[in-house]
Formats: sequence, C-alpha cells, structure tokens
Amino acid sequence: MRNRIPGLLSLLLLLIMSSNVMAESVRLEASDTPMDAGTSLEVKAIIDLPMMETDQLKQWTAFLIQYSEEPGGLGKEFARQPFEYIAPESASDGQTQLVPLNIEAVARDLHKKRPYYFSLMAETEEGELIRLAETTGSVTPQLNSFDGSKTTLFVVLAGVCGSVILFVLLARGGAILHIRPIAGLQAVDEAVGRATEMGRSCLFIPGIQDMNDMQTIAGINILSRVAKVAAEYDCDVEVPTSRSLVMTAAAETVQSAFLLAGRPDGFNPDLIYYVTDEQFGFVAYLTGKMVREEPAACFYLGSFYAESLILAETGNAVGAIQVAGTAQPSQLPFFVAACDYTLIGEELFAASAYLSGSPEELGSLKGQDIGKILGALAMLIGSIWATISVLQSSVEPESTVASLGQVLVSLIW
Amino acid sequence: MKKTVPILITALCGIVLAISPFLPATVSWGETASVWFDVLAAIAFILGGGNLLKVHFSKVNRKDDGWAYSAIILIAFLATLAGGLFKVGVPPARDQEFRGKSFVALKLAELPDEMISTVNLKVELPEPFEIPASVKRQLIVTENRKDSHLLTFKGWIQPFQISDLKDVSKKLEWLRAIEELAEVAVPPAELQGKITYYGDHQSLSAAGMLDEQQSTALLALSEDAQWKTAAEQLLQQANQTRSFEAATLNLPTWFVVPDSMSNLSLNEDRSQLTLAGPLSDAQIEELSRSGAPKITAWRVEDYQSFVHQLEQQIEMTKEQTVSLQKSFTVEMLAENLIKELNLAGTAKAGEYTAKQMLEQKEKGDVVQAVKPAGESLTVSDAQAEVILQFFSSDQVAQEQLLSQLQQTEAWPEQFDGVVASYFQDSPSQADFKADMFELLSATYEGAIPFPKTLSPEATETLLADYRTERLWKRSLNQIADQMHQTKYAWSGAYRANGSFFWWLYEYAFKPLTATMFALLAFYVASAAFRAFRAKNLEAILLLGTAFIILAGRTPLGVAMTSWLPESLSLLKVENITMIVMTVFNTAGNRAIMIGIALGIASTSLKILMGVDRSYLGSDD
Repeated sequence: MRNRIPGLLSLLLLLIMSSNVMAESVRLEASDTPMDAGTSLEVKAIIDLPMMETDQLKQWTAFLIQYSEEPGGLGKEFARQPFEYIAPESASDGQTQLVPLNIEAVARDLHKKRPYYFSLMAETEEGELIRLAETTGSVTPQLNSFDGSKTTLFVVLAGVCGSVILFVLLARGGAILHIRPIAGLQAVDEAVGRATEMGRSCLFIPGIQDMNDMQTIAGINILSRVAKVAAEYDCDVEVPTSRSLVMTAAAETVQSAFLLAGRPDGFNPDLIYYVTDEQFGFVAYLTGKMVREEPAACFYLGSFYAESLILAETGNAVGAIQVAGTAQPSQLPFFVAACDYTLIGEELFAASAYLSGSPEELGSLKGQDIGKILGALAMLIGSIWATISVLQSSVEPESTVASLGQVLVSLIW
Repeated sequence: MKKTVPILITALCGIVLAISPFLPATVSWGETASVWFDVLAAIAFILGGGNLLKVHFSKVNRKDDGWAYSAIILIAFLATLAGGLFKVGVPPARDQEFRGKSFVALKLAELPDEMISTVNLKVELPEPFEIPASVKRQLIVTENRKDSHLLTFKGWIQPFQISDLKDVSKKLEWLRAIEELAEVAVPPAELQGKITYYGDHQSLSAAGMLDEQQSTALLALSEDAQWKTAAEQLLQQANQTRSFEAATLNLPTWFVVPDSMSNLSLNEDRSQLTLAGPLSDAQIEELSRSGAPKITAWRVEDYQSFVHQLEQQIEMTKEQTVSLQKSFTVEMLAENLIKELNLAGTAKAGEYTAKQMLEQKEKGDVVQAVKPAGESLTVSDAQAEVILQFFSSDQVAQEQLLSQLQQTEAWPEQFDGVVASYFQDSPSQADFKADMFELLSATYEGAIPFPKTLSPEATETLLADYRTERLWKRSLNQIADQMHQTKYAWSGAYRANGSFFWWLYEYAFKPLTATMFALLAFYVASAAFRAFRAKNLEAILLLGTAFIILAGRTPLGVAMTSWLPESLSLLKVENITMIVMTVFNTAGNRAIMIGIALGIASTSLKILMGVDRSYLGSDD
C-alpha cells in the first residue's frame, strides 16, 4: 500500500495537469487603457502553442478576441490573428515554429462605466468558434483625468507658455527688456499725420475673419493705437468690417481710444460699420470706396486671402500710404510688393506689445523668443538624429559617433 | 465692471478651450463653448444687418456723396433677405414630403389602446441606460418587479427604431425584449406595409391607395372615436381619385399598366388615365419603364440593322464600329442572366434571434449571432447552354425560356423569380441608345485634329426613344405632384434650384464675384512689374529667382535647358525651380509659420491672463 501511494499521487497530478493544459497554455488579461477618455480597454492574450495538441492546431485558422456585455454573452470581435500550423519537419530552418503567441489589442468605442467580458476564440476552417479562454471577471473602462496620447503636445505647450509667463513675471519684477524697432509700427504716426495734413481719412481693415481668429484680435489691438493717434490729430478713422462681431469690438476699441485721447466727442460711431460677410462683396465695396474717397492712409491688419492684392494695389493706385500685416504666409508677398510697410507674421502679434511699451507685454515677446530657440534646437537635434538614423540603417557605421563624423565630413566635403 | 466681465468670460472660455483637448472629462465643455460662440455670432449677425440698414439709410436720407450706391446696397440687401427668409419660389424638400404617402394628425395621447404594446424585460436595464432619440416619445420604461421592467411602446415600431434600440445594449435579454416588441408593436396583417405611425410627426400615414379589405381593417382596428375620425380622414385622402387626359401626358404607345398597380387604370382607347391615391418615387420609376422595349427583346439582326442605320447617318471610324459591335452581343445577355442567377444563388449567412442565442448560451455553446452560410446554387452547364441558345434564337417570349429551364435537371425554384426580374429590370432600348449617343459623342469630341459633332439624323435615331421616356417620366412626376398632399410647405432649402434666391445667386452674385476675382490677374501683373525692378542686390536676387520659377513652369523655359546632358540634369531649369520651391521657399515659409504659431500662442496667453486688454479699448 505504501508503495502504491506515490504512484497514485503521480497519477492524480498527471490528471490535474492534463485537465489544466488548456487553462495553463492560454492566458487572457484585460485592463483599462491608461490615460484615455474611458472608451477603451487593453487586452493581452498569451497562447502557448507548444503546449497544445497538434491535432487541434491543425484545425485552426485564426485566433480572435471578442468582448461581450455579460459572461458568455453575444461577443463582438475586435482583434484577429491569422494562424497556420507548420509542422516542425516542414519548417524552413528544420526547427519547429511553434513558439508562444502574444496578441495585444485594444477594444475601442466602448460605453463608459459599462462592464465588459472578454473571450479568446480559435476559428476552424469551417468557421466554427472554439472558446479557449475568457476573463474571469468584468473590466470597466475608466475615464482618466489626462489624455496620454497628447503628452508631447502638452509638453511643448507647457514649455512655450511657461517661458512666456516666466518673462512676464520677470518684467513685472523690474527686468529691463528691449525690442528691435519695427518699421511698420513706427510708421503708424507718420501715416495718420499725413492723412491729417491732407485732410483725408484713414482706412483701417481688420481682415475678413471673425473675432475667433487671433489675427483679427491682433489687428484690433493695433486699431486701438491708430485710433488714439487719430483722435489726437483730429483725423477720421473709418473701419469697414466683414463680420458683425468685429464691428462691435472695433467700435468699442475706437470709442475707448478717443476717450483715452481726451476727445470723446470726436468719436463718430457711423465710421465703424458692417459691410458684408462675402469676401468679394467686401472687396468690391472697399475698392469702390477707396477710388471715390481716396483715403490718405490705409491699414490692412488681420487675416486676408485673395483680396489682399486687390486692396493693396487699389490703395497704391490712389496714392495712399499703406501699412499691412497678416499671418497668412501666402499673402505676404502681395503686401510686400504693394504696400509701404508690412508686418511679417509674428510682427503682427508683437505690435500690441511694441506700441504699448508695457514691460509685461514685452516680457511675453521675450518668452516667445525662448520658444523659438527651443523650436530651433529641437529641429536641429531632430535633423541630426534623423540623418544619423538613415546613415546607420543604410551604411551600417560602427557607432553613432562615427556616423555623425561621417555626416560632418560629407557636409564639409 | 464693463471690461472685467468680458475679460473674465474670455479667460474662462479660453482656458476651457485650451485644456479640453488634454482632459477627457472636459471635452464636452470645449464643444459647448464653441456652440456659445456660434450663438453669439448669430445674434451679432442681426446686429450687423441693423447697422447696415442704419448707415446706408442715413446716407440716402442725407443725400451724401455716393448715396446712390447706398440705395443699391439697400435694395439688394432687402431683396435677398426677403427672398431667402420667405423662401420665395422654393419647393418643399423631397425628403421631408414622403411622396406617395397620405398623412393625418393623430397625437400620441389620442392613440387607441390597440396601438399600445407592452413587453417584459426580465433583467435589470443595461447600465448606463439612455433611450435613443428616435423612440424617446414612444417608448416608456417602467419598473415592474425587482430586476424586471416593462417596455411600453406607443404606435407601431419601425425598422430604424428597432435598430436603434438594439444598439442600446448587446445583452441577450435586452435583445430578446426588443425582438418581442418588434413582433407585437405592428399593425394588423392586412395593413402591414401600408400603414405607419410617425411618432416624431404625431401622424398616421398610409402608403398609396387602400383597398376595401385594408380600409375595413383600418376602421375596425379600434372603436375609439378619435381613431375613427382619423382613419376616415386618412381613407378619404389616400383614396382620392383623379383622371388625366392622355393627350396632355406624352403617354408612350408602349406603355402598359403594371399588374402591381391596381390603383391605376387606362381606358380602352388609351385616352384617359385614372389614378387613385398618391404616387411614390418607386412607383414613378416603375411606371416610366413599364412596357418599354428592353434590350433583352433584341436579337442580333435587330441590332445589326440599328448599327447599319447609324452607319448610313454618320461616317464612323473603325474604332467606333468596333466599339458599337462590342456593346451588344447575345453572349452578353446570356452572361448577365447567368451572373444574376449565380448571385441570387449565393448562400448567405442567416442570423440567430436573441431567443436562439439565449438557448445557445444555456447549452454552454459559444454564442453566435450569425448562422454559417449554407450551400450556394449555381447555374449548370446545361442550363447555361439553354440560356445562350435562347438568346441566339429568334424566340423572344421569356416564358418559353423559363419553361425550358424548368425542364433541365436540378433547376432551383427560387431562380424563377430571378429570370422574371432580369427581363423586367434590364435596360430599355432607349437607355441603351442614349448610352451609345454618349459613347459616340465622346469619341467625336476627342477627334483629331478637330472635334466633331454627331449629325442631326444620327442624334434623332439615338435619342428619339429616350426623349419619349423622359417626357413620360416628367408627366408622371407632374401627376404625382398633383396627387401629393403637401406636408411642410417651407421645408425646402432657401437656395433650392429655381428659387428666387437661387436666381439671384446664380445670375447676379456669382458673375459679380467672378468679376472681382478676375481683377486679381491684372493686379498681379502690375504688382510684379513694380516688385521686380532691379533697384538693388536684393531686388536683383528676387528678379532672378522669379525668372527661374517662371521659366521652370513654362514649356519654353523647360526647352531652354533641355539640351543639357543627363549628368548636368541638376542645372535644368525645371529642376532648379523644384529645388527653389521645395528647399528655399519651404524653409522660409516654415520659419514664418513657426513665428506665427508662437505669436498666436503668446497673444492668446496674454489675453487669457488679462495682460493685453487693448482689444477691449485700452488698459485705462
């Protein structure tokens, strides 16, 4: 009897082992996707193929993972891994290709806070599904506080905003900041003065976009300065707009500027008016007006498209002094060709700080410069890195340093 | 205070919009803020219109310089506004009108008990639970007992509502309850497919005319007085009869009333058409082709004589003759029929009901929604031969083909209908000839050295039948319009084709806009002339670059350096142009773009922090 005990124990162990072969050879784990909007779950399946019966493997053509809303319920497939059994003797390298198979997948577009169950299936040639494993409990997608897919964007944004805030604080602390002269902005006084001398009006066009466009806001900021100078010189500033919201904002700005200049009675609300939202309708109105009334100074500061050259050329034809500025790169050449002064891209946004001379605003410009330096460095390092990677993959240099040297030599050569 | 409030609103909205892409919980806040902006912009638009009226009225009133322009602006503004706002000349939207259906108002509260169905859901409601918008008015969910709910549906459920409800959850008990609801919340058998209740419109609707049996069933559905009134009104509308003089309808000689349309009759001398009830778009389509000679009735000799007739009317090239010959063959007719039959015979996977799936689950099987596909049926060689022989022979009656096929071995019964619909749905000879017109016209348009047009005789041969078909279809549409009961007179788009606004847009606004845009070409020339004057080194560089770009984009410029050997191809003007555009131009553009991006970020931040307040007037 004593001799039989180890044998019985071994038999029992063998039985337990054989019944658990499938359970041990297949593992299915599901977890919440970290840092997402609570609509996806991550699933990992590990299938230990060498531990499985060859006869079974021969029948299977694919593994697939399904999710359902209740245990053993109606499943929806979201991941599929085709499978073909290759016998060890027919494998090209003479060795078996049966190695553990890992399937990692993400179930997307799930309901927030709804529990889900997962099953791993094997599909036969006939389309029959055999359940290999299922998760023991449910997994519920959780709404996370931060979207991890946007980390890089967040870091860049934090870097740029951080540097701007830092320099604003430094400026508040009394740091002296300098800004290079911008000819276009220095010409504002000259242009308004000329209009006053000639007894004509100034025409200010804040682009054709609405107040949700930063270029329009930048244009309105400059209008504040133009209107103040015009109020001081007793000159009319006419602001036709192509958006109603811009009209109300511009009217408020000009009125405040006149008030600030000590001439509230000089403000004429009829000079700030709405024309039309239509691009070429607006252009037709403005060009007609320019030809008839011949303004002495024209300001085009905001977002412009195809109308830029039509306006600038008409202004040029009537002999007006013209200051333009836009952040539309494709329109800049037209303004440069037809206007006296042009604010190129970022100069339009710097104008407010430049004209006010407020240390806080100048600080923001310095912060912007830090952003530019960081961007340039990132591009430089990225370019070198990318070049080295390309060279490493094609020429196979011995080390990164060697490949960097190779790049430098080739550049010098 | 006047400035603090806007600054606070700006800062709040700005911060919400800035953080919402990073914090999933706040994504909807960003969307809400954008919607608020749109609402504000819409209100401001009224402000803009008011300002425009005020400024230009006062100009006209004061007779200022250029007051006539202001008067024109005012007239144009008011005409456009009135035309668009009152939808002058706008027909009702087709998709809102349910052509072919009659409607009477019947509120949900007035529905008889016979139209209210209830099913039991034996489990908890799926979490989170939200009733889909399409059934929100009609479905009521109440708690019955513990872990059990009653689903009460008012009216008759429609397929899209079933689909929306099935999307709420994939739990089998829920799906089973919806399937039960789909079985019970339906009209009586006689009225299925004829009567619908639209919960959103709170209307009872009938498709086409209702026959005596259907009318009786409708009235007998309930004894409720409100129901009786609604049903009688519906019957009156659905069964109204009208006669049309055939002489005014372009009635084709080949037209026959299809068997499926019992509400339409044509008198013996074909002089009067009588129609009961409205016509749907599908019925118009069927009527427009009913009895029209089909290409399946053509035989080789018929087609040859048609081609011969064309050859006499136009001088055809060899390619045109070949393509005409290839366009119609008896093999083509036979192959198409075989293809249709094989397609219809393809085994399609069926679907298990939720009840069946619950049984699978109870047995411990893997729950599957789709049944495996069965065996496909295909046309045998012998059957294919019969089909080919039929189209090659002079016989034209489709019944003969069907009886021959039925005599072959293993002819599936379900193929009978496919043969019938093949003959019914095959293109008409008129459509075929119109296609030939397109084909020949296309080859003529591309003719070298000069494009040609088809002769009037050939055009007539190719398009005469097609014209007859189109005119008949137009008449059918007019009949349908007369029989139609308009439901939403203002539902059409304000810019619908043919409307007053559309007319203004097409014939006034578009040409004027195009004229303004065209001015750009002249301004570009004058600006280029000024910019490219070689005043200093920079201007010379600019001029040189501009010359290279211009040369590289014109055939003459490319020809200038085409003699260069391949080893010096880098110096070819088109390659230099490419380098200038992709390297120097892109680099310069990117530098500006980076500056702009940082400028926007910095300005936004200044506004959010309240550092820059000049857009609100000034800091003081």
